[in-house]
Amino acid sequence: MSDVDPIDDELRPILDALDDAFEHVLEPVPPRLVDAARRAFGWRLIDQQLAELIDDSAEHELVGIRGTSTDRRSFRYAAGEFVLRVHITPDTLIVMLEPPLSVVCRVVTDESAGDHRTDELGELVVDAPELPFRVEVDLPNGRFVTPWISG
Amino acid sequence: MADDRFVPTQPIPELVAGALAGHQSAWDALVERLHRVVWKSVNMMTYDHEIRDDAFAATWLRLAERLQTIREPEKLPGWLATTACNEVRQIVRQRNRSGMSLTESWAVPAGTSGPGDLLDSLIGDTGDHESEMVRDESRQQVRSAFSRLDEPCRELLTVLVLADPPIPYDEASEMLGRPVGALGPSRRRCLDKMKGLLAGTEGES
Repeated sequence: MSDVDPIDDELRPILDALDDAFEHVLEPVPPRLVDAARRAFGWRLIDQQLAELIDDSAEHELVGIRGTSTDRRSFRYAAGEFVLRVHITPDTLIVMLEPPLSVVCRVVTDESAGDHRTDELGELVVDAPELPFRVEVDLPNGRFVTPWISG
Repeated sequence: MADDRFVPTQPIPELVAGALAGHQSAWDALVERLHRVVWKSVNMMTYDHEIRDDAFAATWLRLAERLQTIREPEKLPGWLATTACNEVRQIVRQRNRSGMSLTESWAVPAGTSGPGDLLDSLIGDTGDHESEMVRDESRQQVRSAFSRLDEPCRELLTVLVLADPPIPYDEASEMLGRPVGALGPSRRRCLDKMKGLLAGTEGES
């Protein structure tokens, strides 16, 4: 991108005039259209399916046994024909897809969403996200989303 | 969940991140902040109210669908303006209607004093009634000239008007599905055409 563009210099007054000319006759947006815009947000989830929790390590690991309790937790979800495993430790998040497949995998927290990809073994290892988080995977039969994981 | 922390005045990337994390209130704040960009785009592209309304709604659906693919959220106004233009074009094509040939009755008076004078009359605000009337007339001439531009030029100028921060011309052209090259409208061509129409020396395209 060049710093000085003579065409832009010539164009600017025309763009400003257009902006002003239309601004002057622009009606307010009808409230029903603003409502439609708000509702559009719900439609983004329409194609997502909730991965079904089939196993949570917290339910059968015993307090006091090494490697259990607060420092590590594992979940297993059914996502169509796939099984999605999520392991969370204080430092690391591991996602494993069975059967193995390289797919887009998003880690969504309250504040952000990060796009990753499982490798050809169906695995993804990233830094542990803030809690709560959820995992979205784009599988061949649709996008699956885990429920929120809060630790 | 403290949902009320999202307000329209927040930086757009924060609102996009909030929406991506599933917060309806972040999305609502985005709608509040940017709905006028979309509204102005569709109003610049068509006078057909049905097409205008459908394109407005479709643009927000498109954003909801593609939110996660927005790589530079700070450029969202430009993305929305471009998408709104594309939606108008698509709806018009689907319906095979002539909504894009703007047939407004705004006539460009022959032999006006030229684009420079006309644009000058829009600048400044003396507040007196007569100047305001002159400005109104000039605005009408600008709208009329714009309505007689060809579709690619109208789309390009709409996006360049509404993208804030401005997006480079080639990026706008690319997003409009008219990559820079043989098929893309050049700024120079659109600029010259608009100037000609403002001066009353250019016929309808």
